[in-house]
Amino acid sequence: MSCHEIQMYLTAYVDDALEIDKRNRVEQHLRQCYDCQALVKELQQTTALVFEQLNRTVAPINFEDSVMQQIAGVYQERQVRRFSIFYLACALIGIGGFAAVLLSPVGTFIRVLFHLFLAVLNGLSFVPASLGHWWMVCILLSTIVLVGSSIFGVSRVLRSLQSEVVL
Amino acid sequence: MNQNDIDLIRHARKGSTEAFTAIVRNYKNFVYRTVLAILQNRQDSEDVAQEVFIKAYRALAGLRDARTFPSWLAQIATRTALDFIQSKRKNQTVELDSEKFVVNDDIHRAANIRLDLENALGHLSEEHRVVTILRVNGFDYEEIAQILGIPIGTVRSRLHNARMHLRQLLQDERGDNG
Repeated sequence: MSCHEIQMYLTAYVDDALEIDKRNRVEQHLRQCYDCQALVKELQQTTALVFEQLNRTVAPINFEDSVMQQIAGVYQERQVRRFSIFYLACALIGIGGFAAVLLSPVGTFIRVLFHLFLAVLNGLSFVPASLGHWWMVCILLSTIVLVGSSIFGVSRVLRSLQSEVVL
Repeated sequence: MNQNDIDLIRHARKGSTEAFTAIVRNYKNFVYRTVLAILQNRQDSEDVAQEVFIKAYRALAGLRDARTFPSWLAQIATRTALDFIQSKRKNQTVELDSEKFVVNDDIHRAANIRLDLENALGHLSEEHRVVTILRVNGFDYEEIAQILGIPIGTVRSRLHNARMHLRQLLQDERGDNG
């Protein structure tokens, strides 16, 4: 092989990236060619200098913080998008399911049950009046208020405990 | 690439921001160095390197094999940097050459070796700078070919031409300085 042909492979030779047969041919040529030997030496020096100098390049001091600030923005965007899609999907499933139930034979049964429930409530409302026992109504209302306030109180306590854990 | 990095990438892929912070810490010099070698401008390189990590964060879920992360990240970095150069050329708002490390002759004579090399890199074409920095970053010829989507023979010839050009430029500069 001529010097010109060999020189095309010298960078790969210096980088140790030649196949074994080509490497052998290059080494065979180098043993008898001082010009190519000199070129290999220069390429080795250039390579060492390039590697040494470029590897010294480091990112600016605040680079990491700047990236992570932007990542936080991207993360929030992503979360908002995920929740929006989730809520939208839930709403669609809910509306769709409700409509499907109402339109199906089961819906007719539910409507009948609902009317029955209303009729029972209506009937029950006449019981205390017809018996003349207004005190029953008072006790019932008090019980409802008491149960309602208990549920509200418990939920407040649970919420405050949750926020303490988060903090 | 060590096992710790692979674990970090797997955690980050599952959505861990802490893991991604560690990845940024481990790879920031790698990305910045790659982008700076291509763009030859520090301010632009900082912005583009940040963009590279944002793109990586968005696309990380699509990375199938965590072990290919360095070449995947290098691919994003080189493409983003080259796209940036193209968009700048299209907009023609700023002349790239005016911001290169290329300096006038007087300053040139007083420059140290590092500046000599930066100057020399600035004289290379983009495609030669890209293959050079990828090689410096430790990728072998086959990996460079995969990252850039070009044949391995093209990688070999580009690297050789780049190295010969750098050798000549550095010799000229040393001759001038001496």
